[in-house]
Amino acid sequence: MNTLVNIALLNLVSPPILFFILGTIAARLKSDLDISAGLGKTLSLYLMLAIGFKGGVELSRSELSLTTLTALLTAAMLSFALPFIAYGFIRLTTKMDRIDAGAISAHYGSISLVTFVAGTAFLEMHAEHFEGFLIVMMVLMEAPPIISGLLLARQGLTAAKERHKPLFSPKLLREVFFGWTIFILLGSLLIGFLTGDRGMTDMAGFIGLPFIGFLCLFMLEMGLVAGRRLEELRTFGLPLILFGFYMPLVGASLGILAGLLIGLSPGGVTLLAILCASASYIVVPAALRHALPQANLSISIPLVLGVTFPFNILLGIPLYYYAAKLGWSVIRTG
Amino acid sequence: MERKTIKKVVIIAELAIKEEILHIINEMKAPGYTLYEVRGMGEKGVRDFETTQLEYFKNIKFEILVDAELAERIVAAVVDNYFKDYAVIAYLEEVQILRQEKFRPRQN
Repeated sequence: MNTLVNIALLNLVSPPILFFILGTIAARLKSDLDISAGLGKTLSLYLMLAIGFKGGVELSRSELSLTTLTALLTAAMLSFALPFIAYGFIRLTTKMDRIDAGAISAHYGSISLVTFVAGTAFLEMHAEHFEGFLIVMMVLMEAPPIISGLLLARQGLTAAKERHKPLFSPKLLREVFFGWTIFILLGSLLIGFLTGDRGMTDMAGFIGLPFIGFLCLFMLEMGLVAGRRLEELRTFGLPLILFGFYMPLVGASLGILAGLLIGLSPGGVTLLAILCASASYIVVPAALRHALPQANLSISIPLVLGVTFPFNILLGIPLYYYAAKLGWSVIRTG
Repeated sequence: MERKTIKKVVIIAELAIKEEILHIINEMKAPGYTLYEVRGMGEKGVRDFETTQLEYFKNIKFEILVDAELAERIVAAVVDNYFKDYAVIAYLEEVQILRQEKFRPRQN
């Protein structure tokens, strides 16, 4: 088995990660390097279409089993539980009020699609297989933390009227289930599932070989975005910054445990760990803006983008992979 | 050509409440509006439309040309519902319009 240092170094010198670092440096040096809004959106669309489609094809090859159902249910429950842990840490270590702590915990329970995509690219680099239904697990992990985060945050609302507002407004449901990221992801998954291997042959030239190139371009933009947010972290205080580092480790540990118990492949365990470790910065902020307008998202977004996202991409993913492999070999030999 | 002085309601807000403001404009039967994507800086920091990943940091600007009475009602609805929790400012200007029949409230 490769040593942890080897795996980590191999990750650090892979093109997507180096482009991410390049983007961060460009932002710090105030270079005028930029990715236009239209291209940024196109790249996001491409990544979601590709990852959804590939997952759908993978699903069409496998049969629905008890493991699949257990895995899906576990993923949803894990993501619902994670905000409670995150909330506990934030309230214990910082002076943040319940509303902002609840909002941040919702971000950390939910997932980052880009981190997941980077994880799949990492696994491909190591020729590691993973189950197609991981994509469905990812989708299922997006919404539950918003509910638990809201439940927690609402304890801090003083006006009774606001505390007893229904949790699910039509606006929130639409944001969570028909927001463009979920819509294109699930739509592509369905198209991939319906067209199967024949569809994959048709699409291979678009989503196969060019994938890493587009991911590099996307990671360059992520680097620019993350680099620009670093400034805002200065006012945050050490306990909160540290939370951005250790919370993904807590999430990943639970993800690895759950993945091993369910019986996922090493690649699958790694991806579940990545999902539990990653934090949302698109869907959750958009949903909370409506469901919890009192929350100050100027804390959560820089924390996720400036600390947790880079941490996962640079060090977390190889670490989770190493731990997943280790856990897997222990179970097999034991 | 004959001119008439009416009000221009300007609302600059975070993208999150675009639908809500449109709803107010529709409910009040304003004859029309113009919508821009804008950038700027204010109490909530720099709000830059170029940050493509983050809808949260995007800003929009509405311009609505209406008579004084309707202008007050639109502004009041925005103040009551969104001033407290959202990034939003509103102001009124006097403007001179041509073809005043284009600026009457809708009937339906």
